[in-house]
Amino acid sequence: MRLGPWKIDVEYGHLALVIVIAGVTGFYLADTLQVSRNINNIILVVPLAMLLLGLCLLVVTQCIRFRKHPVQKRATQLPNHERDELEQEQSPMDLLHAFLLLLGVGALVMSYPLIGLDVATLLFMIFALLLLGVRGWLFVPIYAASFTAVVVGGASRLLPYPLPTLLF
Amino acid sequence: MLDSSAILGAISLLGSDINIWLVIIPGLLIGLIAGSIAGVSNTMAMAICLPLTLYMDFLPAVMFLTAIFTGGGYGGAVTSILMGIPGTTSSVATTFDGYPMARKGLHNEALGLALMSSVLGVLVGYIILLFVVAPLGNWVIRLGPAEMLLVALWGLTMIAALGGKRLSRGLIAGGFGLLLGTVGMNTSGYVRGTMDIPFLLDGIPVVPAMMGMFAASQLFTLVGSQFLIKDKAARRADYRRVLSGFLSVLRYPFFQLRGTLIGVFVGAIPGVGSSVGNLIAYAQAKRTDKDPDSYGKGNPKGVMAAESANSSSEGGSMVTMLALGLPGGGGTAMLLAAFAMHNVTGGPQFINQNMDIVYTIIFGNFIQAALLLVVGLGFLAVAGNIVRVPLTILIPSVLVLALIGSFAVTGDHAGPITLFVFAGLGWLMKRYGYPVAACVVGLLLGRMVESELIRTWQISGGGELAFFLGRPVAMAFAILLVLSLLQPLIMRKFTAWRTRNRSA
Amino acid sequence: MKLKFNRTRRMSKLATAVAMASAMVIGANSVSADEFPDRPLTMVVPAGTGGTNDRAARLISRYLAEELGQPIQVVNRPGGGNMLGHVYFHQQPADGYTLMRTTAFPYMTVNQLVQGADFEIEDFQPVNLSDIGTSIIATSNDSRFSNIDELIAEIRENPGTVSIGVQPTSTDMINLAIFLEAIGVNRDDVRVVTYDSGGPVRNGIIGGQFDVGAIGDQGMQARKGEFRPLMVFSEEPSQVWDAPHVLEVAEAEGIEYPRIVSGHIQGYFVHTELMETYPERYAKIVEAFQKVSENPEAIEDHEGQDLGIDWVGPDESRELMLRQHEAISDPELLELVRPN
Repeated sequence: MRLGPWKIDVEYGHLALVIVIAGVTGFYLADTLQVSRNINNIILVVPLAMLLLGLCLLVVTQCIRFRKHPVQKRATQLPNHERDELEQEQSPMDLLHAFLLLLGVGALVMSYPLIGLDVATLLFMIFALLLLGVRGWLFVPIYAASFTAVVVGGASRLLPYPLPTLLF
Repeated sequence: MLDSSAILGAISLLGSDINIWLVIIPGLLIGLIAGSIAGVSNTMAMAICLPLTLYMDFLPAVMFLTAIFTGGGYGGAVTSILMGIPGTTSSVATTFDGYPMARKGLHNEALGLALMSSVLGVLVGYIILLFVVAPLGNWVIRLGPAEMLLVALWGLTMIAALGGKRLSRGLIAGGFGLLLGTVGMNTSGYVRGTMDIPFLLDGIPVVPAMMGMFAASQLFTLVGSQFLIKDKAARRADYRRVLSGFLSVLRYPFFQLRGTLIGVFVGAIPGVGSSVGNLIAYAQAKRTDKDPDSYGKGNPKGVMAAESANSSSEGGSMVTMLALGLPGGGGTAMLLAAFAMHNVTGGPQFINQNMDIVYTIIFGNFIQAALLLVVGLGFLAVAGNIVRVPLTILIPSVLVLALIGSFAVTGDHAGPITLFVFAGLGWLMKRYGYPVAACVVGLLLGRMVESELIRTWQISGGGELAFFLGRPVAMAFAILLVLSLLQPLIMRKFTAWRTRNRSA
Repeated sequence: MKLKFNRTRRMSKLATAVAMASAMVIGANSVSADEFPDRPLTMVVPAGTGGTNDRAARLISRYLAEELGQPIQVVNRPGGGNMLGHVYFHQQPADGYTLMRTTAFPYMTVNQLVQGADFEIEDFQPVNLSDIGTSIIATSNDSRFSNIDELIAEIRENPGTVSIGVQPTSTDMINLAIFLEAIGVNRDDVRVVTYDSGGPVRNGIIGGQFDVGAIGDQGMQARKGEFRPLMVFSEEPSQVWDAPHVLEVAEAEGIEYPRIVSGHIQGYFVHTELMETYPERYAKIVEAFQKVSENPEAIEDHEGQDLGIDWVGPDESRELMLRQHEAISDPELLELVRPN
């Protein structure tokens, strides 16, 4: 992002995270104060929340850097020397896959009360296996089906809570 | 100190019923398997098996459940090391060094280490218990809010030790977790942050949140990699290396002992004792080591510290349960329920009148520890092969297991939703260098810190100094806390002074 | 308390196991609705594992299962001052397969009138209210107070120094508040230390973590020698506790005492709807509970664990429950348990 002679580097993802944290903290702080101003209610939440908000502000300034020189390395993650040497590189494609996987989990969680845990798990497994690149038009459904059968079937038998299922 | 007639009574009880012995190995196996599947925990395994114990007599029932407990204590280490996802809240610290070791291909050594530490932890923990079971009970009941607050704070200082890259991020992660831990109805009856969602009244369910954060941050970060361990040759279950890990524990007896001691005493504290013990032991080990920066990157001593503490805390929480009838955590709550089913109440009377049974339980656990060695090794032969499974299959499978596990914890939609929300949060945090473990520690301790802080405030009439001066135990804890924080500083000054004197 | 390891017990357990297994097999095959119950039942406990309600539920489930011929699964649903469990139970179908063991009084009232729960107390039908408690004030054995008069004097002379441990949404809190007002003391003149449940208050009393505690007397009887009761909130002198009752103390102080609230009332519940939709099932359940309460082995077990088993019966229980509900529905009293 350019603003005249200045170049502003913004770590959008990081900024989003900090905004989420600050947002939740702010909401919680407001809710707590609205419930009561009694010391028994605010003693930990209020000072802690304020400290957190302060820290978030500090970090935001680390997310947004102003540079005069147009030639600077874009910092999308931590600088190299701080990154864990054991971490394997993740390409942008990998990140996209991971994000889709996360959405898949979300879909699984939200859908299973409607379509049953067994069906939802089966669909999720097939989706995830294909997304991550497992080859084999035979292997994928077989593994997904047997895994679902064992895990969901086993859980419904063992657990005292009723499992919402369609087929069992 | 030792009641000899009770010892004799215990020995005869142990010999009276073959069932007591028969249930140990199945119990250990169930615990191992349950603990090592990310999603199921040993508490859950105990909960599922609880109805089964109805058909057993009292002693076999107790032996069975404690065997599951013991097995699960190590089982949790297996998934912590191999996948970086803690199997139980008490295996969180094991992931810090266990997982990096696995990534480096040292998983066999790590597993062997953890097994030996666990076995020794249980053994030594219960030996200590043998001597202190009665006085410890009296001592625990005198722990008031100030003392509990200090213990919780001690656990919190872990966050600083975990800090990682930048302190500000560690503080944000930990502080945020702490804040989230207070959601719901607090000890004075105020309800905050529930947004009218009923299940939040009791707070955010910790285990699903923890699993979401760890599982997500680990598994999503692995997308794109083929295997957990880059080096194909290292990707085997190698017994020789397991044994070498095993034996290396014996080279550090005092280290192990310290972890065990911390585990026993912290584990005895009702509430979060057993979950916090491994964290405190780890932090302590890291602070006092000559090379603290190596922790978190695969230092075997980190694994040792964590595992020795979490196994011995089982014994510690046992004391509180027997002596006071108070559950120290999920596992002892199950035991209490089993006691009730068999018409036994914990409490000082129980200990006074049934010392022989107490000893029987303790001796039985000795046997369990010994058998764990054997059963554990056998288990490792199978479990170690997980690293051979391609990640593309492993990741979705573990995610589903974690989901089912979080459902099982809450019994309704609340668990999986929490899992999902925290999965997203955990992944984002990991990407930008916020220590997930700090957030989890905060979440675990949030309730306890706030409750004890409120009570300390109430009971001291608003922070009157006189109150604290009149409570020697609280003062002792406070001094210990400060000392433990300063210990590295003191050690450095001490060694510097010594070198100066020598060269003089 | 001696544990029995004799063969008869083991044999009867084996017999029970076999009976239950065959019952399950037979039950699974039967289709007729008259064969109630034909599958396992659930007992909801709105509290955590290991607590009083949980232990009672598990203990009685064994005997109930023998009577009904089907196993009973205990399901814990703690949280929100018993509210989550009550709501969960309320949502289950009223078909007789879901029972509940809970502390009905005062929690159901508080849930409904203070916490805004969706249900009404009339929706719950008590089968038997087996545990009826009394509030007491107690202290540790080495406390500086050896009787209630010393406590009253100290509170008056040195306001703001005496600490009292209590669970804020309990009847013990209500009784305590009424008492403090009656002796002319401001609530701010004592240090109220709040706990989430009764267990920690109990241990606090015994361990001397605070000066005195206000607690229900359930679960205290087993530990009689470990603490010192100072006063009992009852209308008659106590048969159980060696301490004066509140009316006696009030009289000595020359005060007119306004009101005594009962201690916690615990027991077993079904849905009120069940009585209308499946009257035969309801009758069967009531009968099973009654038989258990007359079973000498069950009685012995319950008493050994300090749990109640007296048969009060559904009608009297319901009347008691509603009467107490009315008694504390007074907004003034409810204010005492509403955190401000």
